[in-house]
Amino acid sequence: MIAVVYLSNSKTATQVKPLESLSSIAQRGLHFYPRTLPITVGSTVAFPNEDDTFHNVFSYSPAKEFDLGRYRKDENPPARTFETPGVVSLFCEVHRHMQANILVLETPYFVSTDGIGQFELSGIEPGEYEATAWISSREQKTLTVQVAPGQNTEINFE
Amino acid sequence: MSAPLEAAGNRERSPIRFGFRAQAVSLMLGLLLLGVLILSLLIERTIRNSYQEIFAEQFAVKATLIRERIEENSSQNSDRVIDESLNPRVMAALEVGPSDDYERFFYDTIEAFRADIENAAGVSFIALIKLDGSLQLPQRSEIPSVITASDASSTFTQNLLDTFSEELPKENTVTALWNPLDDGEGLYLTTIHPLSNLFGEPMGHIFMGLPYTLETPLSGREALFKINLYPDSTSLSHSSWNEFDLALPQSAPFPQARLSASFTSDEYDTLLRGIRTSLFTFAGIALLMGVFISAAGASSLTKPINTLVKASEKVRLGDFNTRIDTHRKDEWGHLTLAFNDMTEGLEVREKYRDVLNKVADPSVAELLTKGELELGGELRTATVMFCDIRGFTPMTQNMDPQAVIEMVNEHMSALTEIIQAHGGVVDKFVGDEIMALFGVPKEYGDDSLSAVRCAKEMLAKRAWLNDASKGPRIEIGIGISTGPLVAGCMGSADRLSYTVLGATVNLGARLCGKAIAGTCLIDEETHRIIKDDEPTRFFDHISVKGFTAPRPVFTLP
Repeated sequence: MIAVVYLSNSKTATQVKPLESLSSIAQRGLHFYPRTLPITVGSTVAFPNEDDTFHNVFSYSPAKEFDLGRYRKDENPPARTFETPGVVSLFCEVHRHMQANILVLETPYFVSTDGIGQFELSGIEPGEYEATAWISSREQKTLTVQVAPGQNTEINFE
Repeated sequence: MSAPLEAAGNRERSPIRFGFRAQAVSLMLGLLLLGVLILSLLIERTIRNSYQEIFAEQFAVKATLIRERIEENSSQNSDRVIDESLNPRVMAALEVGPSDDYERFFYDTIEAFRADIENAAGVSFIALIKLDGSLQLPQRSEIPSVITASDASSTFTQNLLDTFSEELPKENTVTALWNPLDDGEGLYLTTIHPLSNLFGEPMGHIFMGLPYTLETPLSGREALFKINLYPDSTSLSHSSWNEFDLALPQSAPFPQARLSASFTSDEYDTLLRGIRTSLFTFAGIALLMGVFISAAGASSLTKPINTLVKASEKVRLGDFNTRIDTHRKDEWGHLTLAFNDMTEGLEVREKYRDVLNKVADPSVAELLTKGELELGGELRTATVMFCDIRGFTPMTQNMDPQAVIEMVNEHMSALTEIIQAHGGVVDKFVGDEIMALFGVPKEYGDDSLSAVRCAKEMLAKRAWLNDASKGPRIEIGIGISTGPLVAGCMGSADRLSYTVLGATVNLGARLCGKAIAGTCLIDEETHRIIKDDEPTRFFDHISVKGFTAPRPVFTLP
């Protein structure tokens, strides 16, 4: 299970910047890839169709509502910029089982876990943070963590 | 005519106030009214029962139909709903809820979904409920309000004959939403289906409203059919959707819809009114006919009564010959025959009285008929007169018997008249002799004087008759005596005669025998009584049987 872990406190909102690189959620093999995409506020995401079939990505989420309409491979729709923090649920109107989430975060400190849930964050300013493990819309876990200068801190959400 | 009868005749008859006819009509009217009332009650009860049976049956049929419709709809839709609810847009809606751009969202998702299902199963209202029970779609303003129990019953203000109620299937029928349907008032009978995503995760519920027209007549134009909500609920007061979604927690049992039908009594009342009208009209006609018939019947009763009254009146006036003709064999016939028998009896009695008056002196007859004279005698003092014809036998020897009878009758009638005029009683006729009594049975006080004066008048009358008649001269002799004697009805109980016995009587008879033709002899006692009033003179001393010494006898000059 892949989750997203991010740290936040009162300062992180002022420290956040849009991602420099273009993020993307591809439709590959009738699935969204990745299933959960963390980005910072103001970042832009592309939705390339890599399948030989139509897709129609849309969202009703208050954080970002959009509907890309139907498009085929190589008919790449315009990328979307996400200005509001929150969870954006993605669906494909053509394929009912396809679902993905974009986490629009107000923190520069975030990472996706690997397949077994391990993660590593570096370059964090020392201080006290609230650490959140976002697993799904219905399942999140939070911890409070102290980051000391020049030290590795281990946290476990289990 | 005797006095009591006249008094009876003068007695006033009170007028007939509540006659036979009125009684008969009143009785008939009372019976008729009672009968009509009982009949009316019986009919009312029967009709009411049959109406209730019909309504119960109709309700059962209707309830079965609705249950079947719900079940059919449910089974038809179940798969499709599950299939359709995996629509990514529905999923998305359940996941995140509507955005600001509500209209586009609604028409893109829910409306398309609704239209799709409506085509398939007639579902025309759809709502999405989140797992926490809150309303997801559509917006509140577009949600029909929840009909309440009070709403359901308050619109029904007519007289109720009966109300039936039945719970709708619990599994999937949860509530009814009030909404103006396209073709009139109605409601959505809502079924609920759980929604889950492809991975089996529960996401919420979908409400599907089946439109039901409220005005579902069961029978007649007045019967109403309702789907009633929360009839027993006190805690749930669902007057708005707001309260509805609060009252719909995830795990709570959904409020149950109840099917109820209230039947007005209007049709029943109308029918009953009609029957009552017919019944009372019929009763009225029957009453009128009854009055006519009873009037005719009563006249057949009053007619013989009137006849009897008239006949009785005649009898009262002395016409004992009155008879009433009748051919009737009934009670009236019997009564009439009895009346005839009575008048016949009266007539016979009257005849007897006539005969009695002839054979006995009228005053004696009267006392006899009054029953004032009894068998046996009493000792009285009275005056006895004997009067016979001198030389009667030689005179009549060669005469025609018929002429003799005529002569005697004329003689007797004339003298009897005089005796009675003087208050005397003719005791008997013996041959040519008349025996008369004064002072018995009635005493007047001057009986002896009456006898003497009577004798004088008789002698004068006889003399006058002798002068006037062309027949043979009749000379009479009279003897009068006064004294104690036994007077009374003598004989047997069957055959009586009022007479007197005793020495005084014998003396009178003897004096009569001694009297010279055209004279009258009176005894000593009579003389003593009347000597101051009538002139007398001494005649002789006569020896009489039963008297020791010869008696002095006087004669009238």
